[in-house]
Amino acid sequence: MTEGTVSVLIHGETLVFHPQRALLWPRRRTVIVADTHFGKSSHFARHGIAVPAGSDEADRQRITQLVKSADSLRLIILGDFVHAPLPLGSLECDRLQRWVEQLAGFLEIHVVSGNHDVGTSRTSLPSIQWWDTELIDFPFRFIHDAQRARTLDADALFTLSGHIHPVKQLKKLGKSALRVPVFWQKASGLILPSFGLFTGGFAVVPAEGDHMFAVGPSGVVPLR
Amino acid sequence: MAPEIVERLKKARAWFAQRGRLPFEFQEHMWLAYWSGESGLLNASTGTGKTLAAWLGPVLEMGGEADRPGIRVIWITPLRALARDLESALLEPLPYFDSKWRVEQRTGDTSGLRRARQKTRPPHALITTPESLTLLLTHADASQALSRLDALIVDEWHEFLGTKRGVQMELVASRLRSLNPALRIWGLSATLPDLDGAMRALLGNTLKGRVIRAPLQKSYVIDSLLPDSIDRFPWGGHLGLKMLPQVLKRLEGGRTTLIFTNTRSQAELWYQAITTARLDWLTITAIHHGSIDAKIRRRIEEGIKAGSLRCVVCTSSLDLGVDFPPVDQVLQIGSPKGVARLLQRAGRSGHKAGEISRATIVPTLALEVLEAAAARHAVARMELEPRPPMRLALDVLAQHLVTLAAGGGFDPHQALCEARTTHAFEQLTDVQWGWVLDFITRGGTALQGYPQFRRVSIVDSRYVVQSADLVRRHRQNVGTITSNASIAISWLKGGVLGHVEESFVGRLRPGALFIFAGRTLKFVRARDSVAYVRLATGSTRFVPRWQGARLPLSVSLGLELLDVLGSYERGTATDPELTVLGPLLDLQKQWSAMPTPEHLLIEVLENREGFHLFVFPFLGRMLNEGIASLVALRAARETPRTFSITTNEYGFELLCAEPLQVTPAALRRWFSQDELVADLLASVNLSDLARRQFRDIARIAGLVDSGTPRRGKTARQLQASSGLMFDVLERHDPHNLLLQQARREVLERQLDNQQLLDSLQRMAAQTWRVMTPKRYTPLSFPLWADRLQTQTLSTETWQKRVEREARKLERMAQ
Repeated sequence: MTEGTVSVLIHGETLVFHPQRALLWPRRRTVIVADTHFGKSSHFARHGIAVPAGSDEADRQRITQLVKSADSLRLIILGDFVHAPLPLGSLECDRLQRWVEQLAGFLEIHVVSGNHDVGTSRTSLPSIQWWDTELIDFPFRFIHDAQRARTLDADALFTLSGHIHPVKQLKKLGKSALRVPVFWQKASGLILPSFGLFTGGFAVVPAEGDHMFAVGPSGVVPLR
Repeated sequence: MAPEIVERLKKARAWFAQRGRLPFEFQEHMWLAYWSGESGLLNASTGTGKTLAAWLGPVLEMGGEADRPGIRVIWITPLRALARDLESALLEPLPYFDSKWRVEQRTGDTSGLRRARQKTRPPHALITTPESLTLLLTHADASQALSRLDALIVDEWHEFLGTKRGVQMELVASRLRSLNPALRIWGLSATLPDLDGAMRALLGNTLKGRVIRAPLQKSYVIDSLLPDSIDRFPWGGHLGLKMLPQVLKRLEGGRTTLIFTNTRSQAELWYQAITTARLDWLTITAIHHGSIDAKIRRRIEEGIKAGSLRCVVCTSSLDLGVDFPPVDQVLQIGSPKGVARLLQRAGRSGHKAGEISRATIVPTLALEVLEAAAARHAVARMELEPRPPMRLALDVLAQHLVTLAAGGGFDPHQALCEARTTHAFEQLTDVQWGWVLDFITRGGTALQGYPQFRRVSIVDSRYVVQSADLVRRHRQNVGTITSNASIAISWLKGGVLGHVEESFVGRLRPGALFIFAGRTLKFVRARDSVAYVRLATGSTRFVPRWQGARLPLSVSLGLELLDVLGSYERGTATDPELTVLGPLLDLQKQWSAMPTPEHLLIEVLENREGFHLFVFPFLGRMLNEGIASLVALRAARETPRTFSITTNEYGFELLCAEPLQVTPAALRRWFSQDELVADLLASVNLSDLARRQFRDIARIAGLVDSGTPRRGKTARQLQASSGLMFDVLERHDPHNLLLQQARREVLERQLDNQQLLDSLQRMAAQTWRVMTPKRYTPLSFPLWADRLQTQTLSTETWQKRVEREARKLERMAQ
């Protein structure tokens, strides 16, 4: 097992929290990530905000490395795959298409559509299998926003979702506070941290009985 | 004197005669200077006739002629709330002089209809804010309308100095000056240590000017509410509500009282305490701070004006603003922090010419009693804090250039010449200029070759913004004031109470109680930047903490404190505050020694907790912290060890496990001025500080949208936090000049390396009293208590421990 990972047993399945803000499901050789927000920096640039490109490329490399090192057969992206519809024919659209095609050469790619994915041309990314609301692979429900889950089978399935970009504010001694991305595990489901490096976070407070796993620089750490 | 000048002067005097008096001499000086085409700065406080001094010049010069179109006078005010009163003040003399001039406002409150009418039929005099004036410049036809401007009057210029808003004003002034080279610029300012410098900052380096001083200054009385007894071992644990009975008595005796606090949470607590103690005052007591919804705030301000409120607990939100004639008392809870600030707050009472302004300091800690005496001395001597104008704020320059590009475009050569006439950018290098142009056109070096980036385009060698959408977005983000508040607090059925920071709401669970806007609220849920609440019945002490920078004690006030301590030691002090503090000071002297202007106090103490080095430079929290980290770094470099650092306004503590060799030579080395910047940079986490400093820069330079969340998907999809932006730039564009600016601002403004250098110099000239007390002294005890608080988790155990320790020390002192 990779350095800095933490495993949990959920509904009889082992899930692994990976420090690259990804979730591994080893038995099914699946890598799960949420909120990649591809094209965010170029979207900003198109609207006159000078964000250097580069984080998209870095994010793609991180995924490629993840699936290779985990020897995966499946990649599931829990929505907000792109930040906004990419203009067809644009540089960043080309790059994304090329990478998806390359990746699709050796694994399945599933994307559960998120609110940012609305309006994205699915035909331009033919190798991706899109899921409109949710994808169920027993015992898990894969969905973008857990709050929109259909209540059917609610207790039988464990929900894996994104959308929130959970971070935890850690108090450091002195005045500066540190915000770290977290995996947020509740009784009914697990919320993944956002994968994209150019994505923000929303500070959350765990309820009684929740568990949080922080993604630190040297690995995933359970928080008490 | 030319006959028309004599004629004008006669007319002005006649108007004054009608009101039974002669003009002040300085008013006549102002008019004459204006009529001879001069620019400059008028130093006068509010209520001394400064408005007429600046206004009658242009009015009489124009006479009855009002047919020529175009704006002739622009009057800048720092607060749009002031615009209404100003408008009536400017209108008042017009009928007498048969002037047909129209005076109008243009602020964020002005309706779109009104603004559109101002376009087709511009008023002769326009009252506006720097932000609204900048917005005007984003319209292509603005240059035409403003090319006939005669006078730019900047009211309360001291408020702008030393801020980025001031830099924005300088740039706008340079623009207006180049539209009409004959433009006269006058600043109106309260007293500042460097009036000439203040004038040069506004006028730039191509316009000569002169300073006119109004001799008539206000009288101030500064006193304090003295506690019956004080703790000889003071600590910050008390909420400072001990003085409540005395405050209530004061309120009973006054008509309308403003109670100033230093933080918004403190305001909430005092409001709660007052209304709990006096339920009958519930309807005539109000709370006013920057997070409370603007509509509610305006209602409160009107209440003060109408005299229907007995007491308003407020923060700096009421430092400036419209006149409140009914206000007859000002209370300052806790440290006044600075002399200029105290004067400003005192000035909210007795606002009329000739009336005395009075402020009463309500100490919440024993040593704040001392600050009251120090503040009084500083006010008597007018020892005000300097406000050096900012330089080379490239973020503001970038915003200004986009403004020009949106408003009809600019020629780069001319824009550079214009920028270099300002005080802020007279030292702008070609490289910096090139970078800013590159930043707004191509997004900086990191985006080169990225064809989709568009903000400013070059058309026929002019820089323009072509897309209407980009112009709109720029307009929404114009300005240099950043607001923290982003989550609205709203009733379930609607109605916004105000705004708090996202992080506070993030910590709330449904059902949690907290105090806001003077009410106890129950948090229901958060949705889309709105936190819904309902009124709660229970009680809580949980108050949002706002992250606004806590203002440190100013160096001027710190030095004055030392002065008061020196006078106590010499036995020449007469202040009533010192009688109350006597027991504390005597014990300090007995157990250790007194810090004075001539003596730097250093206490070395070894006990079970470890080895303590206490130093009391009295420089305010920020500078004390700077010196503390510097000394810690240097001491640790000589003998590796870990220090824990604790600072307050008066001094700092370094604590380590192993004893330190505190020899005079070692102390000289640790407090040396050599290698200051290098050691300073090594001693702080610069990246962390710069990251926080970057917030404003990113906003102003247009990298992140302004604090006001806007609706619509596109707007939401363009939101990113400045911290995220900082990380991305550091990773992919490390040479970005805005990052460098953030680091420079940390060094110059936060760590204040110049002031630090001056302070170290001053300390080197002092005699060092290195004492070895056996136990904590009245001066070191508060530092110990502060440190303990950061180490122990529960407030209760902390309070108990501090109280126990204070009792123990008290027994030993007897």
